[in-house]
Amino acid sequence: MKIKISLLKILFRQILPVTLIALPIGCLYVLFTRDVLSWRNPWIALFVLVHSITIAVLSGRYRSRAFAFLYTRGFTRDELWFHKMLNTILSVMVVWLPMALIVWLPVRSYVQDKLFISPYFPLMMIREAQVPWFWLAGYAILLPLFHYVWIRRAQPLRGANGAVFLSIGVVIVIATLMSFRWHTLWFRILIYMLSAVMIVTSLIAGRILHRNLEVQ
Amino acid sequence: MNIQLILGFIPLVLLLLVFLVAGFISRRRNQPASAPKGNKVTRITETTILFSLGLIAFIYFGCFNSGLLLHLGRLRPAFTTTHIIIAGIVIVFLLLAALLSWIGRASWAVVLTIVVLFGYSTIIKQAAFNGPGYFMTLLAPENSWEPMVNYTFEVNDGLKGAEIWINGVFLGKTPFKMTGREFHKKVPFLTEPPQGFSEENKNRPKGDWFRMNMLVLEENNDRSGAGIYYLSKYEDYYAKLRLGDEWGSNGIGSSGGGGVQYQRDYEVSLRAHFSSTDKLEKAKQERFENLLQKARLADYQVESQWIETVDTYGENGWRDILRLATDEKEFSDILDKWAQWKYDISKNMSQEQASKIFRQICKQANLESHAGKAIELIYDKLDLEDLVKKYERVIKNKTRQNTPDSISVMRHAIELWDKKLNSEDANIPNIIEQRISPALLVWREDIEGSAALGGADIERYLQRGFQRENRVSGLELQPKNREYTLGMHLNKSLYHLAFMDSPAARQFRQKHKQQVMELTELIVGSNFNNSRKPPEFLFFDLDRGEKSLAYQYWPSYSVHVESSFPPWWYEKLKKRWTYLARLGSLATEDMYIHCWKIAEFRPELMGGYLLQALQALHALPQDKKIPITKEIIKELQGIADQKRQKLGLDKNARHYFTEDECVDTAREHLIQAGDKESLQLLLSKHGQGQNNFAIRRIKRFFQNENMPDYSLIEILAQHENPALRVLALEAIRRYPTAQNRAILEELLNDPDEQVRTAAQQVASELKAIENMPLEDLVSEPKGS
Repeated sequence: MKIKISLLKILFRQILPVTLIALPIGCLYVLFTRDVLSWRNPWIALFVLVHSITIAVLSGRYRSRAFAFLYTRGFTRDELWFHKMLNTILSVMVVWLPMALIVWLPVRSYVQDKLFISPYFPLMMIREAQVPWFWLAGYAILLPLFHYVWIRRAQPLRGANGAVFLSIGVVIVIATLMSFRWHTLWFRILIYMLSAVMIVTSLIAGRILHRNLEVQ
Repeated sequence: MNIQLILGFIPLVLLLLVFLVAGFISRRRNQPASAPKGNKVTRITETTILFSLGLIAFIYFGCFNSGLLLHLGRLRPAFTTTHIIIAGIVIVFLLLAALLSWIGRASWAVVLTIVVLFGYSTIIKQAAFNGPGYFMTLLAPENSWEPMVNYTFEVNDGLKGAEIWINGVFLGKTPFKMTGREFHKKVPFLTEPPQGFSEENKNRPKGDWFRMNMLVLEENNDRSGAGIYYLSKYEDYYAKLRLGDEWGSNGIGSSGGGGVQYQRDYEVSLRAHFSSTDKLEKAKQERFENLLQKARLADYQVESQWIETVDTYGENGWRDILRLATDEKEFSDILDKWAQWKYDISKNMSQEQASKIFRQICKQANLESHAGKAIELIYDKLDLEDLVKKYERVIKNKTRQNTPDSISVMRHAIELWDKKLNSEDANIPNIIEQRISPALLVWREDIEGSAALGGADIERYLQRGFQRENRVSGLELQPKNREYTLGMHLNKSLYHLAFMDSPAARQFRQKHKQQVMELTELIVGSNFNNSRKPPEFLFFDLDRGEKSLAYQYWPSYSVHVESSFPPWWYEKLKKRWTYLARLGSLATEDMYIHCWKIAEFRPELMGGYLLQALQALHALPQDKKIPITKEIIKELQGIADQKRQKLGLDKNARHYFTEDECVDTAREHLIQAGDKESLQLLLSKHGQGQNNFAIRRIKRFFQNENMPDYSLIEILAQHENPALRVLALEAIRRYPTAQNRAILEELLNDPDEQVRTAAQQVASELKAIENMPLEDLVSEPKGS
């Protein structure tokens, strides 16, 4: 499928406000937080959750006039779905990549080391280097599911709240797993595998259901 | 009441609110009632997600979050069944939820899943001290949650066929095991000792019975508070042992062990004398002694066959020789040879061979005896880069569950390398300090381990930590800045920097002397350190002379010793002298004497205690040890003379006061320290006749485990009294070193016949040992 830059631009414009808010918040937090970042950091987890919800909500306002306008411009449903997913990736990357680069380059380490004379830096830089991947994994699990939620809600079918409850369940399970540090290797592998199943299922189902979307 | 269930719903409610505000959840029905409840795609998707989610949460709660599904084999069968039934019910509900989702009721399915899983978590949650939770006590059969107790009974370190009787009940013949419930069913608890138990001597009763400490479970039932939990406690039981027809005498017994949550393994170890086994044990000990004598007679140059023979004595043999090596350094070389033989280590071995041995020891994962020594012999042949890389990998990947057993072996090799590199040049950062020390800090947050290896990273980490938080102790310190030790919350950075032995840490201690001294005060004065052991770091900068921490802290330390335990005067004196001995040349003789003067010496406690205190002076150089002891002798003699004067006795009268005995003890100490003058004094005063006072005293030295000083034997061998020359032969017989054998050669031509005969006897005894075939000296000879 060919990427349509103009469509992508229109879609990105919808998400731009939240990106402009999330980007500085995320970067400033990563730059200035004094504790060592870990995959269990609750504030970053909350940030990823709220950012994901906002992206999904802004992409899926299927009752809005702008939404209806876009869906009557001659794009196929698959094209629209594909560009929405692409736009989501772009929106995440615009926020996630600078945050990750601050950790990796290592801007954060330099600031913490030289400005704050932190005991942890530059020592902990190597440990923090893997943390952005967990943030990305958070986006990867939540966003396909949240996109599925709005697509499911726009179907001529009942029981849409079930998908919402399901996404709440996912968030609760992630939060529960984050409360414990020492997951065994086999359990971690199981989590990765089942997460992959959930992501793939949400994406495939989202794409299929998107074809029957009811634009109001 | 467990509030986890309620707490678990708080995030759910919050998220529902967020989703409601975000418009994800509609308050009104979107679709007409006639619309279908989802289609095939939605059903498959939602059921798949729900199933995945439920599975992760179920495994997490059931196996890790206080769940016991991975430990069912360790529980009592009834408790296992309860756990399985509850898990089975949960699975049924989860399947029901999946079914609900499949028919388009995903909302209800999610609510059901969450309620069931949080309910499950609440039910199986353990109470305090890993006891069963409140709900489990309602659901499981009474007492099924009691930990499984397994007793292993052992007599005389593995003696087979010994009968064990406890509280009058015959339990079985060794070796045997028994569960706690079997034991308590069979053995009654006695409030009074059984008939025939002797209280005459509690430690070594004369009768067959002996009292023993038995570890048993104690149930604490506090259902309104901490719940039910189990602790281990000791109870008095009365045991007797029989081997064949003989009851064991002088029995003793104890038990120990521990375990996890629902399983305790206790080992009951009993000992008693049996004439039959005693004879065997004695013969074995004699064989071992003869083996050692052969080594001495060979000037410690032992052949591989000797090593093969000593190897039959295993760990005990190793430990015995290690103990001997403190006095006879040559035995240390023998231990090296033993380890070399055990692991086929050669002096010019290649790196590859060393790596092979290292891998073998890593596989064994046991650093006891030979293995630890073997690592010491080969570590510098190992590829350091490779070793560091492997250890780094282990540190990075290590989690609580998959710590490789070989980690201690690797750590030992790393520490040896670090020591070697530091001894070459402590100022050049080495690879261990650059890579292992930071890795321990980064991946394991092991500050202690990192600080032990040292390096710029850990030093900077701690110094910056101290810059951020410089208070010495207290609960007001943030948890991440605290080090809980000796019952106190100390500043973590300060604590570890103080204990580090590096140039930077040394500078730190100088710069922040006040805080370091404050920390020292807390450590020394802690109720958990009632022996008042001084921290090691005090002695790291003795080269700074009177500015050193240890020197400056001495007055405070001396004051603290007053409140130390045990409270006896000689223990306090010993502590003070030990501290001064560690000060080395900074401690003057006056300081030692001052300690003696403030020691509240109580002569009625006899001289034996004084000898214990005087042992603290062993570490001192001769030129200090001897004058100090002589000064003390002078003091004691002064007290005794004053007493004599009061009673109107002659100064030289042998009216024996306890002070006089203390003087003799102190002289004994001097003689043992190799003071020829004291020995000559003893011999000139009391060395006349066959069984004189001096002989009795000196015999006492020889009965000690330690090898007597060569000069002492030499003086005795040259003394004019033949009885003393015979005494020298006794020492030579026990320690036939090359030097002592030279004295023996001279005594074989002694003008006195009694001495000559004794010398010939010793010589022939030694010759017989020398000619003993090694195969007769193995631990368990064939046919024994």
